[in-house]
Amino acid sequence: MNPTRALLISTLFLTSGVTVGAQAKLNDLEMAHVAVTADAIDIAYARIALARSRTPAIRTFAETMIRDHEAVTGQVVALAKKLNVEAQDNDFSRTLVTNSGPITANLNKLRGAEFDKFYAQNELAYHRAVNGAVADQFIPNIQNAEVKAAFEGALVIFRGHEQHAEMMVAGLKK
Amino acid sequence: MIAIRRHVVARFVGATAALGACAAPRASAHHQVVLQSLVIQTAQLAVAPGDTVTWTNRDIVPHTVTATSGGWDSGLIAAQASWSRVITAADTGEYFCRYHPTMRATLARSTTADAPRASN
Repeated sequence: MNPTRALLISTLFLTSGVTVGAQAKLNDLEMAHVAVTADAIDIAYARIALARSRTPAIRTFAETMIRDHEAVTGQVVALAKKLNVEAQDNDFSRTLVTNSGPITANLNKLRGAEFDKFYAQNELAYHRAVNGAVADQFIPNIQNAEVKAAFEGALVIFRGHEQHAEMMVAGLKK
Repeated sequence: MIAIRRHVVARFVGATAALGACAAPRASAHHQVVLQSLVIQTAQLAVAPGDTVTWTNRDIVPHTVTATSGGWDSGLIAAQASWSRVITAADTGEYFCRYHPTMRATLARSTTADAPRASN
């Protein structure tokens, strides 16, 4: 791992009309922190969905998000422990958290079909944005081979989530 | 006398061979299917009643294997864990992962049910 090796990231996260602008120099440890932060945000959205929606497709998706993102976070934590390093907080992670605020507020306000539609569309947008950043900005610039392999494995899972979200959105339109 | 004995022995051997060809029990096969990278790696598997299928999860997230018809369901298969089922006549058809519905595959009825087959 070479935590001093920096890269320039200029990424736009577009989630449900919310634009997250981030321009930061991230190293492997900071990218790991972004991954754990993105996991935590999506888990939080899923917990709201389980509390507010009775729609089976929404609940199934939310339960999967909790299981899978907890597993990915667990892998990142285990790898950091193995490498005797710690993920580093950074502006990109903080921007993600800040921009999740209005989405969380909206999720807590909406009910019924409106909630389901907003949650499903946000999940699709969120996974598209994160997957694009991980594929195009993160993975090509990761220095440590084990960290890169972990991100590549996570991307496969997150692309599955994106496809699942597409099915969920399409199903709600029927 | 010797000729008669040879004739009887020959008929006995022939009958035994014919009986063996018709009545030899088909050996059940044991198939292995890997779940990896959110894909059921064997998209279509030919099975016959009595065969065993073992699904092994090579991902870091849990999966299930669940009949689309609802006839059978593994429940949660944890990361790196396996689950097996002895196939019945009603088990063929499409199945999927309840957690990741893009993961789909088919158990097809074997067309060589009378012959022993190697495991996949």
